[in-house]
Amino acid sequence: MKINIIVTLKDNVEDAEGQSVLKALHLLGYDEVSNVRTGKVYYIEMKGNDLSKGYEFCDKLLANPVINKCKVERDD
Amino acid sequence: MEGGVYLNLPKVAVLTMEGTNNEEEAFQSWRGAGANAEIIHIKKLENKIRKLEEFDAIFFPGGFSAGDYVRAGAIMASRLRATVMRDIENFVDAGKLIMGSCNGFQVLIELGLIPNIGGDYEREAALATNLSNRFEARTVYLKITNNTCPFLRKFRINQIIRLPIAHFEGRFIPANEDLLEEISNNNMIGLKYVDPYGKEVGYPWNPNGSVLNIAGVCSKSGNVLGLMPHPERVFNKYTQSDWPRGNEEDYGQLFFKGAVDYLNEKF
Repeated sequence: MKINIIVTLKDNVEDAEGQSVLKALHLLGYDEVSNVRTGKVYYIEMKGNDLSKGYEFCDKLLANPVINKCKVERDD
Repeated sequence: MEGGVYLNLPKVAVLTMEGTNNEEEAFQSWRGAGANAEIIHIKKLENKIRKLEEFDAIFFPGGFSAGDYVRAGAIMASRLRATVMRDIENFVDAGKLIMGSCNGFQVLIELGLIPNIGGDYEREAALATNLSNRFEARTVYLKITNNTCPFLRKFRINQIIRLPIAHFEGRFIPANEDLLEEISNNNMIGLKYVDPYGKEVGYPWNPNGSVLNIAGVCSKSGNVLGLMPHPERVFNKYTQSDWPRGNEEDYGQLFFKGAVDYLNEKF
């Protein structure tokens, strides 16, 4: 099974990188961009079909629940 | 120093893995303060070649453990959590000392050792990306706000000191407002970023946007300290930037001497 794990900052956590990207896009003339949030995607290949394992990976390693949220998707 | 005398000194493990740095400075600082320090790779703990119970203090150095991949400090912490967490908990319960600076602080946060208000070593805080979105590497002014923690016992309350910082992820964020209140009420904030006059102001004096200008946090019982600045880099004041201009104490070594005094009294 292939899964994608998307780790982003929670909505209430200020995203300094996102703000820098937003500023850069505005400098390039893309004034229609109103907000940018950043995150990481982990592309994982694994045995079995248990999607909930992805959330276990988040809990154990990939995310800090204080600032991060996780989304796990199948990628077949 | 002769071997016989050496054996009576407090023993300190400076933990290292791929990507950490400052372990040499930390090793020299503990030695200079009168401890018997050793640099230990965490693989030796994982393989049970060495045990934490041999030591009186643990130091988590700065750097970029495991390349800072995933999240600063996350991989080192998850490896330790999976293998020696019970030993670390016993270490804390015995009143032994643990200190982490910079990446070491990030590891302590990820291990749940700081702030650990709930007492169950869950992650209750994070050190997020600096609000400036820059790697901040310079000297900062700090105010000592608690001197009951053994590492801070040689400082005066409200004393203004200077220490170097070098980090990209140092913005202290607690899980919620109640937790922040608990941290404050339990007098766990050890150091705060200030301006040269001791005022708690914003950037650039607060280099990362930490809530309440928090630079260092002690555990409730005081025997664990995590801080973003690097005391081990300024054990002697002449490694401090601009040192000839000021008439300063050797701020860095006071952290280690305070800890060694405590260990000599207690163990």
